[in-house]
Amino acid sequence: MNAPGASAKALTTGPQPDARGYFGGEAGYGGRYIPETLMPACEELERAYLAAKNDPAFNRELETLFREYVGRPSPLTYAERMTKDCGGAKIYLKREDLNHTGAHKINNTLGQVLLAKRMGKPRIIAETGAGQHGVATATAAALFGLECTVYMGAEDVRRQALNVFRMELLGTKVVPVEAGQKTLKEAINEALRDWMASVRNTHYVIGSVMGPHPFPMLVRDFQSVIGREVKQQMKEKEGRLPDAVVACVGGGSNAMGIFHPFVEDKAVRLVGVEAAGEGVHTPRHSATISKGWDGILHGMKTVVLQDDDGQTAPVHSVSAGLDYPGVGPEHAWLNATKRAEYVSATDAEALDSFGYLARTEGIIPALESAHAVAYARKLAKQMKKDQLLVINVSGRGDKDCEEVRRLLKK
Amino acid sequence: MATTSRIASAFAALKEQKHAAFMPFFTVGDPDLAATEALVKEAAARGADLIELGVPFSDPIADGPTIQASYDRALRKGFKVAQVFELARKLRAGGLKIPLLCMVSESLVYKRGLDAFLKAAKEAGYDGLIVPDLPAGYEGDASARAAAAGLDLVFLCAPTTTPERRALIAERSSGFVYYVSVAGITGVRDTLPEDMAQNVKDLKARAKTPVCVGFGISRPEQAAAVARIADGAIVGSALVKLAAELAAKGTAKEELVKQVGAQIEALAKATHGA
Repeated sequence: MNAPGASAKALTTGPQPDARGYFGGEAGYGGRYIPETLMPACEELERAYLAAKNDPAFNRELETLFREYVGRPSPLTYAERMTKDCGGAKIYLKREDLNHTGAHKINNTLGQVLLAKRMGKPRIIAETGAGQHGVATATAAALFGLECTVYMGAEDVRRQALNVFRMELLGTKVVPVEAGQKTLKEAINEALRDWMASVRNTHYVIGSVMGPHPFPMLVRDFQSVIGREVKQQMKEKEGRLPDAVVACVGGGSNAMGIFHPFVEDKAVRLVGVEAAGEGVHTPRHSATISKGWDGILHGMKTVVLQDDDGQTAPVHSVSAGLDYPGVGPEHAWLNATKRAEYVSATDAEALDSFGYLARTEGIIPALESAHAVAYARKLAKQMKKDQLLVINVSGRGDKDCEEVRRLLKK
Repeated sequence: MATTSRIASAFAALKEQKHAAFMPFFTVGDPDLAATEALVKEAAARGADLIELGVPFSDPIADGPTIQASYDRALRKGFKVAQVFELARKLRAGGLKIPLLCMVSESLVYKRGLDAFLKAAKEAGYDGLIVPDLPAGYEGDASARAAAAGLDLVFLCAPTTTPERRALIAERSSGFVYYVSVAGITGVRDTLPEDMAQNVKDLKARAKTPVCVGFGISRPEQAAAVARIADGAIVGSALVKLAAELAAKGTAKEELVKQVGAQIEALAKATHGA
């Protein structure tokens, strides 16, 4: 699609964090709130990344992998029956569900594992919630023959036994984490702890646009292939930019990936959909931007769900991939500057849209993506028929079928 | 600064006696608040020169499994940050003279507001803050604001720290420099790492303040080995673990304090005698 090296230039478009990793300056979000032990690793990673992104050979290698291993570009599918049913905007689906391993996560893990190879680090670690990022990391590690360990909350290990098996099949060691709520947050703590003891030979593949600088920037850049493709595909199909782009937000990597190339196209509405769980007026949700406050978590200043002392609050969502008490700092900044808007969808709405997209378009979306579908159905109705709406279908729903079947039986 | 801080005075006095400092660490509220208060008093009576108090946090990325477990226990018992200040007030009212340092995540400091946290800590009787997730060079004007509030802000240095950052840490740290002896997390380890002596020597040559070593020290002979090359030895996980094991066995508070106290005395003697 691009001439060799062209994406290097593309990677640098759009707003960038400052030298210390803040989006919107020191009063903004991001930064590097980490133990001294990890400082050299983050500095080394930043240097390696800045060199790599300006290196045509690195970009060519990543592009080849995207094309021949992931199956990119992923299609932009016109959702004809859904469009008719909603009766408003013309709806397109960005099909990240068709990527190898079934979600957008592979875009980031291939980029980071390529970087690890460049830095000469033979060992990879990662955290995972539902297991999608773990599987994508295990896949990239297998492809390059690197040793890989994935930390996963013991509760998630139990709920996602199939993904644990997939990772093990790919040659990865899965370590259950028993602390706290035994889910994603604890897995991140444990992965960071491993990294502190192993930093000299290990790269930590963070799974979303979060953590200390430069992770939010580099994960976003690797994921921004999604938005760049949408821009080009929309131009080919409709000859113009979309009017609205809708994506689900947990940590926020699929949303950042599709938003970023549009941030400076002010006419394009960017809508992030968080998980409202059992409702944002109950304690059981993970709608961080809607209900949280400025705070510090996992190495970044961002919006977090916490109590009045600053202790992280327990969170809930039917979808394990959105079940996180923080959010990527660039989203916090896009929200503060009102460049993007953040809304939410409940467990019930997401479950309903999970079946809706299956029946209407023959596509079973991931429960995470079903949150974006749920809100897009409302938004499309309010838009005019000549307007264009893109939903990022960030992953496929096979992984969720068993859980949804269990929930629907209740 | 016009007045000498309690931390600086403590190190000056130790230097005259040609002793390294011994600094135990306790988690506030573990096994419970009354026990923490009793442990601090016992430590002071048994030869501790400074005391570090850890503030329980839900997501401590700089601490090892032992300290994290102690934070979890305290939080489950309903720990609130205000108790960290109440504890110091009580200890000072009871006549405790040695320096107290508060080890706290930036997450909790930020939530309260830096100036509000500094003011509350100073008024309560703390002498310094250690904020392990606020690395040197990323602290903004926090050091200046801490100094204005009359508190030292201690920075950490790791085995992985580059020479450039080592110089920055040596320049910016006040009170002392906290050298993390293993490139990893707090915990109980069997041996001291080989690169430690060289790194501490280099740091001492650059720093204006004393250099103390912590993380991974558990036994008196390790404390003695550290005392021969550094200005102080910090022991946390080993003591927290001992107290937790005793508490889990249902040991009465007096007996628990006595037994942890005996370990502190052995560590302090080894540190001072080196």
